[in-house]
Amino acid sequence: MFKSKIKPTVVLVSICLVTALLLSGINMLTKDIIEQRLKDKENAAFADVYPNGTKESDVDLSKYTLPDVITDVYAMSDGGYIFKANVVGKSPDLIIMCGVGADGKIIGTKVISDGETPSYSAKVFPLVEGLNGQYKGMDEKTFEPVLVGNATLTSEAYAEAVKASLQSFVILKGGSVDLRDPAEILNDNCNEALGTEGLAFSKWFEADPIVGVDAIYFTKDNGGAVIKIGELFIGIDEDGELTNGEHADKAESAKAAFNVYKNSTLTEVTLPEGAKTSVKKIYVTPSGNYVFELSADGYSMHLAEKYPNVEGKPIEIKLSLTSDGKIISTLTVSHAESKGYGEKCADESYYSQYDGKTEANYSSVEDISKATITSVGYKKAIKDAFATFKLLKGEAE
Amino acid sequence: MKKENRLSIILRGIITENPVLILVLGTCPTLAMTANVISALSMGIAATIVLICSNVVISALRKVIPDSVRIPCYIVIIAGFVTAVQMLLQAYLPSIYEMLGVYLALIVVNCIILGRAEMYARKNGVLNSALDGLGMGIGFIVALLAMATIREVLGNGSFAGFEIPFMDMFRIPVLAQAPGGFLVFGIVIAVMNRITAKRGGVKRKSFDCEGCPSAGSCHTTRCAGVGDDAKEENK
Repeated sequence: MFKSKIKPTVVLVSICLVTALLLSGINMLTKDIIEQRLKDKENAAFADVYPNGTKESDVDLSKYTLPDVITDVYAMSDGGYIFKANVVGKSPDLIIMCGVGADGKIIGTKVISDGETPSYSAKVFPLVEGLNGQYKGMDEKTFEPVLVGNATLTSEAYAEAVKASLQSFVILKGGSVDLRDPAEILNDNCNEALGTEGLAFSKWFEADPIVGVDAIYFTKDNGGAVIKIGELFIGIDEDGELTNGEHADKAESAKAAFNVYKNSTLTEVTLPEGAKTSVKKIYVTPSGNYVFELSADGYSMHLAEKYPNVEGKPIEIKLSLTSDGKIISTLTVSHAESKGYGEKCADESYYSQYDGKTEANYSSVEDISKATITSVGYKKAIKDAFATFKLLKGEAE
Repeated sequence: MKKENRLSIILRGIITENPVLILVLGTCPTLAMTANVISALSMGIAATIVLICSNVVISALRKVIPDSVRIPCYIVIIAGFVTAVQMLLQAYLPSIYEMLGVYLALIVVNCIILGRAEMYARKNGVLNSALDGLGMGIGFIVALLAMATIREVLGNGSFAGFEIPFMDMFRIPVLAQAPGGFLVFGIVIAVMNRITAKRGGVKRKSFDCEGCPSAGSCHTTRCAGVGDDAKEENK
C-alpha cells in the first residue's frame, strides 16, 4: 500500500516543495535587482514616449475609475501623462507605455515587457512603436486600432492599451468616457427604454423578417420588448404600447416590429426523410418561414475525430429562411472553436454576413482568416439546411 | 553493462549522438534561435546548464523516484532549473534574457532534456549523468553554432553582430528567415550523416526504436522489442 499509493505522492510533493523553496530563495536574491531593471527600463522608455517632458508625480489611481488595463499613470510637467498598461496579447503581461500630450494626442508608445511570439511582435511593434508610430497624433475621438493580419491578438492588445490610455486622459482631465463593455451598454439602454432596472436582455432571433428596425431585444422577466432603430432604443410594453412618449415618429415601425415578434410562434415540424445530419430541428412560423437548428462540425469536432480522447463540441447554429429560401437571420448559439481564430464564428460581424443570402450566393461569405476548418464546417451546415429545405418543399435536390 | 569511458560519454553527445543533428531532438529552439550567433550561443549555454543540473539531480534521486511518478518529477525538476536560470538571467544578464524571450521558458519542454533524463540519467550514476549532460549540451551548442554561422554569415552578411564587409554582395536573405532555417537544417543534417557514415557511424535504417543510435543503451525499447523489458515481457 505504501509503495504503490503513498510513496509516489510523498516523493512528488517533496520534490515540489524543495523546488519551490529553492526558487523562492533565488527569487529573494534577484527580486530587487529585477525590479530595479524594470524601473530603469521604464525610465528609459519615458524618453521614447515623451521626449520633451519631465515627470512631475505619480497619479493616485484610487481617485479615478480608469480602464482596468491601466496600472500606472505619471503626470508630466506640461500637463500630459504617461500611461502604463498591462494587456493580454498572445501571451499575458504585454506591458506598454503610452505618452499622451496635454492636447490629448498620442506622442509615442513603447513596449517595455512582453512574452509575445517574436514573429508576431516583429510584425506589429515596428508599425506602432516609438515617436513615429501609426498611433502618433490620435486622440480619444480619432482613435482607430492598427490591426495587423496574422498578428491579430498582439495588435488588438496593443490597440486596447492605446485606447485605454486615451480614455484615461479624458477621465483625468475631468471628462467622461463610457467604460462599460458593449453588453452592459446594451442592457442599460434597454432597461432605460423599458423603464426597468437590472434586467438582462437578449437579441431576438428573427424567425420572421422585421422591416425598418435593426433589432429587437427581449427579457424573460418582462413581457415587453425594446426595439432598436438606428441609435434609438424604443420600449414597448406587453400590450404593444410605447412605454414613454418619446420617439413618437418611430412608433409605427416599432409597434409593427413588436407585433411580428409577439406573433412569431414556432411549431416544430418532423424532419423530412433524407434530411441532412447537420439539421437537428426545424420549426415553422405562422407566416410560413422556417427556423433550422443546425449542428456544424468545426475545428473542435475535427480534433475529436483525430484524437479519440479529445471531447469535441459542434457549432450550434440557428438559421431562419423565408418560404422562398432566403436567409432571414443567422446566429451562432454556441461553439468550442479555437481562441483567436475559430471563435470569430460567434461574432455578429461574421454570421450576419449570411443574412439576406440565398442558396446561390451564401458561399460567397469570406472564410474566417486562419480558421478554414471552422468556416468550411459552418458553410456545410448552411448548405445542408438549404438541401433539407428543398426536401421540405418537395423539390428534388 | 560495460563501464563507459568518461571521455567517450562526452564525445558521444558531440558527434555520434549529437542531439540535434543525429537524434533530431530540440528542433524548435534550433530553428528559432539560429538566426544569429549570439542568440544561438546563449540558448545553447542556457540549455546546457539546465541539462547538466537536471541530469545530476535526476540521477541522484533515481533510486528514490518511483516509476509511476517519474515524468512529473522530472518535469518539476527541469522546470525548477529553467525558472532559476530565467530569474538569474533577468537579474544579471537582461539583454540575453530579452534575446531568448519566450524560448527560454520553452527549454522546459525541450526534448533533449527530458529525453536524456529518461534515457540516461535515471539509469546511471551522478558523474556519468553530468558528463552525458555536458556532452549533449556541447553537442547542442556546436549544432546551433554551425547553423547560426551559416545563416548569419550567408543570410545577414555578419557574424555575431559584426558586419563582414565583402559579404553584402553575396547575401542570401532567405537563409536568415524561417524557410532558410529549415533548408540549412536539412543540409547540415545531411552533411553530418555523411560524415558519421564515413566514420562507420550508426546507419539508420528506419526512424523507429530499432534505428535509433541510442538503442543499445536504452532498456525500454518496447516498440522495437529489443530492450530488456520487452524481452522480459515476451518470456
